[in-house]
Amino acid sequence: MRLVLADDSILLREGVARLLVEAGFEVVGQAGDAEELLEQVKAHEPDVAIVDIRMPPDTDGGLRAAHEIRTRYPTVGVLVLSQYARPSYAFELLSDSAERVGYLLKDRVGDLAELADAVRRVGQGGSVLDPVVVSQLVGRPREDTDALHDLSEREREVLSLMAEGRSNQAIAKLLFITERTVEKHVKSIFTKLRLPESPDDHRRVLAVLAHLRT
Amino acid sequence: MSRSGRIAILLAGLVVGAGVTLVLVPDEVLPSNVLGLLLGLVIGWSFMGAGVVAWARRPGNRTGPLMVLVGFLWFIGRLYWANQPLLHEIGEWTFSLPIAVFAHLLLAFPSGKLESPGARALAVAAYVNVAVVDNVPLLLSDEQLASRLAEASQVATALIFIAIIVVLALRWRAGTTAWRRSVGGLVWPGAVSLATLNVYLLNEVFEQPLGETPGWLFRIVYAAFPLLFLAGLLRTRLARASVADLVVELERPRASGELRVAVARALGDPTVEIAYWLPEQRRYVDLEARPVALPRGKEQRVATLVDREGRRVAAILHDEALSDDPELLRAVSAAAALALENARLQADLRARLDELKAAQGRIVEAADLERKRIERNLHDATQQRLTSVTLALGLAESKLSSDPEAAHKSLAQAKQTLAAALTELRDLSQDIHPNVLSEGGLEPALEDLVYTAPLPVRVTADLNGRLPEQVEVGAYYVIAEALTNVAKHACASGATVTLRRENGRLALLVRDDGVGGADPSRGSGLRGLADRVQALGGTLEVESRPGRGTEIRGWIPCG
Repeated sequence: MRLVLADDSILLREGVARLLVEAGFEVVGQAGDAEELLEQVKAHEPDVAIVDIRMPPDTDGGLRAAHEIRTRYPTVGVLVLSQYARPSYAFELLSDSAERVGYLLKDRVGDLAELADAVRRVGQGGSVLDPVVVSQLVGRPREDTDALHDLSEREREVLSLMAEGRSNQAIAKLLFITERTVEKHVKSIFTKLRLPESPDDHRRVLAVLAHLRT
Repeated sequence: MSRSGRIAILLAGLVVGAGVTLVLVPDEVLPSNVLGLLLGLVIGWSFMGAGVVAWARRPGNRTGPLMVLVGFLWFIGRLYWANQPLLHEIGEWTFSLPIAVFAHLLLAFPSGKLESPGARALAVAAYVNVAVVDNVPLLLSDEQLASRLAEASQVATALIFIAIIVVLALRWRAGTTAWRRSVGGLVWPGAVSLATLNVYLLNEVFEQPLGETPGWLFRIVYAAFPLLFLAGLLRTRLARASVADLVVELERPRASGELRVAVARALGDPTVEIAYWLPEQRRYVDLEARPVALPRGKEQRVATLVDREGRRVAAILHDEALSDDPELLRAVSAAAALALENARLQADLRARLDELKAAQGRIVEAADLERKRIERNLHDATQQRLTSVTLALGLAESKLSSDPEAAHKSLAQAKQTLAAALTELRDLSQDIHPNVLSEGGLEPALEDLVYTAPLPVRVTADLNGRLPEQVEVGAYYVIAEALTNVAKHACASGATVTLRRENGRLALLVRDDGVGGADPSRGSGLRGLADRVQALGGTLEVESRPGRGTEIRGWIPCG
């Protein structure tokens, strides 16, 4: 899998690059600011661009570059790294499509397996949302009338994993249950939250996030 | 009393006066004494005339009617000189009555009411003495006894008058400058009238050792009293001239304290103070922005409120004697209103500066506390963790070849500790300045605040783009702190946040449905928020009635 890395801290960029190469990825380009990143993406059309959200020229240069890549190069996946867990950014990134996109806390670079998994999922067309952000969305206090109160503990777990962008297969593996059971839970969740069921993983993520946002 | 009523009284006075005089002239009682006849007419008419004028100017004050009564009774008493027996009888019975009413008048001066028990007792004594003791001899057949009684009555009258003179002198001594200037001056002609009357009466009792002079003297002084009284009334009219002076004086530029002096001069009360109204703080202050309490009740001081174009400007604190001349107060208030408004702005500015200075002090103090807290967090937590990471790494290094498993464990521990240190650092830097603001502005920052808030929060924001950075930061802190307060104290089931731009200001509102009863003057939380907003030139209001939730409203200028 071919990657472009963008971060204004060269130390961090080199470190992450070395780790990913170790994990079997090919790092085809590196960039220190938004402009350079767009040049690299244009030159290499990588599978995934890993972008630090906070980059020159402005404080949110990375975020804007990520948007541009997503509109101009639909085949390039974008994994945004953020120092802070900010649901509003995640929503912004996922606003029109949950394909080939991810939002991860920067801390995750310390865990190579997790990082590699996220890069792979984005590169394969999926979506990744950091568990910390998801737990903020699912765990925040809600008014008593909210349908989320009707979910069972297990259903909440499944909901969170769906929001993280996991497939049924992955959820089954993580929760040590069968795929059929996962399907059953998903069906129940969608009924309780009154969401239209969708066979498509991407739309499923969007529907779940839209509910969690309100 | 209506104008026609006054004219009726004047006409009645003219008729009665002329009638009595006409009755007396043909009787040739005093044909040689034309002067006495004319003086009698002058006394009666001047009392009635001055009484009617006073009545018209101070309708609520009994002084006017009392004077009219004195004049009227004076004429009736004059019938004593009539030859016709019935008229003579009427005159005889009424003869001394006007003097009693006159005593009443002086005792009730200037308010028209007998205010002290002493004054009431003296007035009653004067009436009883005249009505009973003076007239009883008329019913007695024993002439010697009658004349003894009459003499005793005259001595009693003299004693009562002396007592009244003493009362008047005491009042003068106790009177304030303003009282002396406005109405106290009329005490003297009254006292002198009584004194001359006394001399006259005693002269009569001792069978005129001083001849006719005391009689004449008394009548002249008595006739002069109403005229002096009128002059006093006119003098308050003349005080209008002092208002004109005030207007001229206010034209030229003044040093800050001079306005008070000018108003004091126009009112004739050197003790005048001026209290300026601060509508936002709902209190009065002086020019130095020190709080001023308005007099209430029995302090012998009265506040006259000055409004301009329907808004409260100031209060003039003055001697209560001036309340007797409401027209002067009104005229001075009106003349000085504009200048007072200017001075009020000055006082307002001063109060704001003081408040700002105090707020600045508190902000610096809060910043110091904040720095201390950050230093403590860095030292106690993060620094310790980093040190332990160094130790773990050192351990791993030394065990790398001898005990790879222990080295591995140590490394894992180092990684875990580092992750915790990172989290701490992130929280800390977020505390120092919420980077959320500099990136997307207030709206996304508030959205994220909602996800981490400890209670359900609804945000409605209609901002139409970014605001100046310091406004965003200020508003963000106010809202974040307010929500923290709600979570801590309000026992609320939810909160709403509303933000919008209106007339170049950011209007923010945080409302919860909790227990209410938050007091901004206690606890530094709300106070700190108000300071922060004030430092940006805005205002913050807190409304928190017990059981009705808390509402924080703020306005910050945002260009």
